Amino acid sequence: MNSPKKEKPRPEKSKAIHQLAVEMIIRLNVILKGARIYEPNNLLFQRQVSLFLTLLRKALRESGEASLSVRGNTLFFNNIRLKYGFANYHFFKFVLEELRRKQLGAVHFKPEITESEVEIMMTVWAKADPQNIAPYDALAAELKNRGLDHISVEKMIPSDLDKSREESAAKVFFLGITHLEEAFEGGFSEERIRLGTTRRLMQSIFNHISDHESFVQGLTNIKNFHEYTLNHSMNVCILSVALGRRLGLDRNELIDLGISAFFHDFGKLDTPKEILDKPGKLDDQEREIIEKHPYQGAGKLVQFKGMKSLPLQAIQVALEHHVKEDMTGYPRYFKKQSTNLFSKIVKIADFFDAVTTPRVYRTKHFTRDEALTMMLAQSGKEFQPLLLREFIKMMGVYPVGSFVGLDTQELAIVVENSQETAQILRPKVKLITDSSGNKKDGEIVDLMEVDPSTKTFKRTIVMTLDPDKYGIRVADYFLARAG
Amino acid sequence: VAVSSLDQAQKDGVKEILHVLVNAVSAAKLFPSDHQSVVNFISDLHERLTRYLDEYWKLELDIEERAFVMEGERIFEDPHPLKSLPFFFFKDGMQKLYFYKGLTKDELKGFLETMRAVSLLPPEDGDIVTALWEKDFANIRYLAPDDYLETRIGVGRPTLRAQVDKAGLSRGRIALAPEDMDEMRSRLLALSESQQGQSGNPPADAEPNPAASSEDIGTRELESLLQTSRQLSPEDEYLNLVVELIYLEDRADQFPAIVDVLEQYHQDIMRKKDFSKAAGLIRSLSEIRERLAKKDKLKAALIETVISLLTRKSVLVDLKSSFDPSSLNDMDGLLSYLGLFGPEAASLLADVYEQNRNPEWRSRVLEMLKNAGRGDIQKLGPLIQDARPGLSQEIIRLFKESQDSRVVPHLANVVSYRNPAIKLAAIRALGSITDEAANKILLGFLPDPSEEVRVAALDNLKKTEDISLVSHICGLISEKSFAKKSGREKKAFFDFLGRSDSEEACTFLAGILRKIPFLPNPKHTELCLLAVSALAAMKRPASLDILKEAAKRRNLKIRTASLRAVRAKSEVVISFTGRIQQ
Repeated sequence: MNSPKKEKPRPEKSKAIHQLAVEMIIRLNVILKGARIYEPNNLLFQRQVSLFLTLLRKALRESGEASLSVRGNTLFFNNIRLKYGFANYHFFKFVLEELRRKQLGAVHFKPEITESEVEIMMTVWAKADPQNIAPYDALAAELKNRGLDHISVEKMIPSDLDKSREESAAKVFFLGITHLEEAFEGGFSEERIRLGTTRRLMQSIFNHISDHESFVQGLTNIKNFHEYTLNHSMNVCILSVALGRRLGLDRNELIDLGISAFFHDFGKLDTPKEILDKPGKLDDQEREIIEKHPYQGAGKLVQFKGMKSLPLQAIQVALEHHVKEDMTGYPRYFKKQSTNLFSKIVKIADFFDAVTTPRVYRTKHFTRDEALTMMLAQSGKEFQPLLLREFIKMMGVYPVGSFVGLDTQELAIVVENSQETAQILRPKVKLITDSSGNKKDGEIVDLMEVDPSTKTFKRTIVMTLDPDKYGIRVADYFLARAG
Repeated sequence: VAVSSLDQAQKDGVKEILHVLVNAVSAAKLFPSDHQSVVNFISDLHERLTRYLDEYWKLELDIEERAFVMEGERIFEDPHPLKSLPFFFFKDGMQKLYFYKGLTKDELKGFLETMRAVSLLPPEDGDIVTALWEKDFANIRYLAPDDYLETRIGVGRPTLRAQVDKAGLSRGRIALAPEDMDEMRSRLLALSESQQGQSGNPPADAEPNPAASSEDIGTRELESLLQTSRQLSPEDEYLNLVVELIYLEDRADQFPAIVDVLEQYHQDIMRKKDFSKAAGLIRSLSEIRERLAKKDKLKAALIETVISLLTRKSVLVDLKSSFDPSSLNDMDGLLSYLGLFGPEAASLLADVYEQNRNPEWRSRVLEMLKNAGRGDIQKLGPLIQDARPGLSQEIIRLFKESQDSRVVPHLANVVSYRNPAIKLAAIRALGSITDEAANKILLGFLPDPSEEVRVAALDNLKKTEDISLVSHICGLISEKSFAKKSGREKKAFFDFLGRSDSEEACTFLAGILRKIPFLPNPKHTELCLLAVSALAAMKRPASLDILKEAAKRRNLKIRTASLRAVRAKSEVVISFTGRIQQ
């Protein structure tokens, strides 16, 4: 494609374009959602399209081009990377997901674009068949049929278009457990473990969380697989990195956080298995032994401080993940008055995963939503309140993996939740029974879906249920998607 | 938009780009990024890439072990796998590399710097994929599938995989327990009632209000939490951590390992001259030891061993040998650290004092030295050195204040110093200390080239019972060379004899007065007048007799002076007697 050489954008100009693009993303978010509910002639929808077009034309006037594209987990507008903050995170996430679902790598708008073209484009995009195995091809063909002259689309490049991303995520999950097992077996000797590989693993975990966070969160429903501590550590790692990402930690920090969470229970290597797995209550002596694992782990890790890739926080987290926000818990410090930020994050993830995991010594474990309720009651005392609040927001009212009963009498598993206030009670769920309780490999439905005839939501969650009570292995529903 | 087919011009363009890229990478590996050749390569590469990307939007390269491939065509090959650029990417599992339109020179520079940094690491630590991922260049992307991890993890062991009975997921039936069923029914009822209202209906306006969200106070608090965490010093954090670990470790067999870590840390901070942290560490250990002194004596003893290890003499010796005040930027830390060593650190403190002009620090060092000397003042003795005039005078002042006769030997060396100020200070100190040895040392200053020193030494000689000392002075006066001395110095000699009030001096002075020259001799007259003055200062009765005898001399000056002295002495005696009588 030949294109005239353009003037290099000045920083202030780039800033203005960035601001414009952020507004467009927010508008696009509304349009795509609206297009699912409303007909193209709906006034609200048309108003949003008109507002979007105003922004688009402004961008075209300013820089002569208007292209929205995806590279990795990032949105670009006219080759300017778009950055998001806490406030607009969910708009970005939604648009990114929408582009991904349709395998759209880029959408280019020409200066002559019309309002009707935008309306058509958005309607086709929003209403495309979600089950289509070649969504891009179908969408591109439809747009061609509709004769859109001033909008062109481009397919995602293979690196961003990983067809088997669920499979890949599951693979990384189990590789993580294996990697940890190797480290535990080798007592963390340099010959047995290479932290370079751990960093690479963390990178993959982060990429999967960015790509499809809900599915990866779903994998943390895998419990007691292979060996409790290994599985638990992997879950804590995922939940910590996911929370860290929400908080806006940079990539380096996220890798360090992941490694810290990954090795947080390293001290359990020295704890006798009979005590770790003892059914029933521990006696004082056994409790004392258990409570030594934080500093035993830290003591081991500190000896490897020379390893360049081992972050200091890994030692702190190993030591502090049972210290409460009010500095009670264990171990009791000599002087320190507070714990490290990563320790506070890992503590939340650790607690959540631990109490939602069935253990021989625990008479009852909690469902995911019960666990969050219980944790909320301990905010400020046990957990850092701001971090806990973000964690709860991340997990949602119905955390991924929750087993729910719907008003249709169908039973379902929550597979994806939204951060938007309007949708917080309406996650996406996988139907696992019909209304009579017969098990089925049901579709994934969006609880935001509206019945056009009644103008009411098609389904609503009525209550959460304990999956164990009904022999439901929640993790299986996620693993089944991984092939 | 995407590249559809490869024409010759495009192919040539890419070949040129790759050629320059290879050269740029080689240059970047050899030279720092601001080296002219690297700068030139980057400019050239950026220019070529920009030209290409302006036309084709992106450059997509497939990576093989020994080649870059474009649309199935090997466009660059290097037969040396270990050194080749394709292999550099290939070995870490990268399969594709993309450059996008919009690529900046800074990104390109960062890309080359990243490659350089990775190439400098040992192969097992360096990973170009992770390094590029961390940099997250907007216009340089890559494809590196997770499969690569399988070559690094779990090699030689069975693959972990959870088995799922997919068919089982849609087999059977779930019947809710009665209590759940009841709950479900009642909630359904409640829901249906509420749907009469609004909650079941979709929202009328889904328009978001980003402005309201962005003002979320919680967001700001969170950002501040992150900011605070980012501002923590890793060194401080590590120190705190190690201290806590030492405190918590209760397994004696684990102590050596922790001590190794601690020692390593101590060495690191000493290498960085971070004395504040070193001081903090030792102080914290001491606090732990204090706390455990009663409840865990064994551990307290172990910690004592650690403290001894960290404060052993050789640490100071090493520090002294590498001490460079010009590179010091934490004087407070250094002084806190040295303070923990007590008198052992005196020598280093002396160096600090001498090489630092700041009066505040100097006074603090002196205070520390004073404290160090409180236990054993002699420890400060070796600090008196010719090369440290300022400090030496201060130490001598401390000696003087101490009035401790044990310091006298340390002042003996000063005799051979060159610096007159130190000598004068030592002389004053020696003069104030009541010790025979002090007088003997003062005698050592008498051959000093400086008259001021000699006079001061004489002035500070104290009355003594030691006849040999008086004899020595008398001997010096008798020497021919004495005549060449100034009147001031001569007077100082005779003043001492007067102060000595000794029989020996008295006899010697009488001898001078009784000697009558054949011809008038002004030098002799001068000596006689000095002798009269010395005798006048004496209290022993014999001095009066000698003076009376001298008062009969023909020499007017001697006679007059002697008479005046006799009169003065008599008045003293009369007055003294009179008072007694009253």
